[in-house]
Amino acid sequence: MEFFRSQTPFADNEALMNNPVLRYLAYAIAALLLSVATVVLIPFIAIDGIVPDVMLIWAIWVALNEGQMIGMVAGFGSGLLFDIVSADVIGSNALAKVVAVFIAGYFYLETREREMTGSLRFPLIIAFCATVHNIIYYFFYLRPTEIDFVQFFIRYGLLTALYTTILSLIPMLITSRQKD
Amino acid sequence: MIRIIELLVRFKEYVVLCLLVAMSFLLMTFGNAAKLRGFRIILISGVGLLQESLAWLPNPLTILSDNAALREENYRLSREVAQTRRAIAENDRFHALLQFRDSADFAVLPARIVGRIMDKSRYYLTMNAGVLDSVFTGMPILNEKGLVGFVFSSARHHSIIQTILDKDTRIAAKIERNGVNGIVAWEGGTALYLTNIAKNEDVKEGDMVVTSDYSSRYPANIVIGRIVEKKDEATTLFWKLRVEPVVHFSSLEYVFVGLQAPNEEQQIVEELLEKRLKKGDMNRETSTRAREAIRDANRLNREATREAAKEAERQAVRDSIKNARERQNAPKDSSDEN
Repeated sequence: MEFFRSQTPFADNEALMNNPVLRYLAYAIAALLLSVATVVLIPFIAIDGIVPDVMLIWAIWVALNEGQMIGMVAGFGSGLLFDIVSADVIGSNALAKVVAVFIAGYFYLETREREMTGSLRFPLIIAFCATVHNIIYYFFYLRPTEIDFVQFFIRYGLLTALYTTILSLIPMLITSRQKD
Repeated sequence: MIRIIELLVRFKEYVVLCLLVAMSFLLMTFGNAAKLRGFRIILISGVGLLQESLAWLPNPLTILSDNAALREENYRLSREVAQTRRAIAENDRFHALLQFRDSADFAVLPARIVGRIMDKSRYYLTMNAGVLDSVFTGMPILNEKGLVGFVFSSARHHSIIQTILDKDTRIAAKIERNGVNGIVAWEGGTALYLTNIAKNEDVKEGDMVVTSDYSSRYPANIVIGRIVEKKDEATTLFWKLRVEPVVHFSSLEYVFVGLQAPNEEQQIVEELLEKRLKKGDMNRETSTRAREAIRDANRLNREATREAAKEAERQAVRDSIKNARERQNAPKDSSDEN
């Protein structure tokens, strides 16, 4: 567990936390790894085609730690990266994530970041933002088709949001332990 | 200007949001530019390689449903394969039947086997053709491979076939290769024996045995089976030849009825002779019965001929009366016309 803690972006590393360049670089590397993991590894934990949005968890986590502005840039970047890697329509994930992270940014508390990411408020924020994210994403995703948006959103959008929320408990628990 | 900058700084989050949203829309509209596509192809290739290298990892959450789906698919495909095999086999069988029907030297009627009756010493089959299909007792039954038996009894729509696997089977047969004549008999199981072939005759394992021209019940040259064993018994002057029937009786589905009546007179004589041979002496009673039987058969023939002659005579009388009437009516009609 100690090893895991030391390897994650939640690591309690003073040098990393104090140096913004290193911190943003760590975020970028984490985003890159997560986007690849999303495409390569996440299908292994898919339940009936439903997969969690790890990139969204990461972007919201950044927004709650760094503020709305950095969060939006992280959301846009991660969304764009995911669009490129997943062969999706470029810009669709970026747009949805920017809006979702913008909403999440309102919950940012300066100097009390870990109160948000280390408590049950984090999965609640994730649940709300993931729902908004999926509404925007599926709206643009289904626009050129004749598929019923409401039915598709209930089938995939809400379940994906639920799965993402459940997965967000992992970073919440890790941060909570570090906080203690 | 300063006020605008101050406004922008004050609402920088909204400004950034608008910029990023605008950029997203621009990318969604022009995202498939050639340069970006090239970069994307490289990335996707890399991801593809990674996915390929991890393809051996099973997905624990879907493995059960995948297994169930595969089992179902396997069952469905197995059923389809079995159906296809059956259809191919049936097609081949029908082809052979059609070829046989077209090439037979005598008229044949196809029929389907609908039942089987077996006991220790007899093997009967029921077929779906009877008297109404012109199937009568004694008619030969065969299929595309060879001899099956004969019609033992016949009802309106069904008939019983006595197969050659019967204790009473005695078929005048010959070896196809050299025409050596013998008698085919059954001695149990699915094997037949060709008897009465002298040891000085040329007989080989694998020779085909067919019905001979002397057979009163069966047409000549119908395949009975193949010699599979040649026994040289010291106590007799004849070979004991085991013949394996070419017809597989257990899987018989379709047969043909040879629409030719057996020679009854010859049969009676042969049966009596056989009985005499079995007893080992020719007593007076048997010879008298044989003579009586021949006499009866001849009488029946004569009666049938007489009956046919009478019928022809009656028909001739009917025709002459009809002609006379026509002649009588003819002048009347011509006078009416005048």
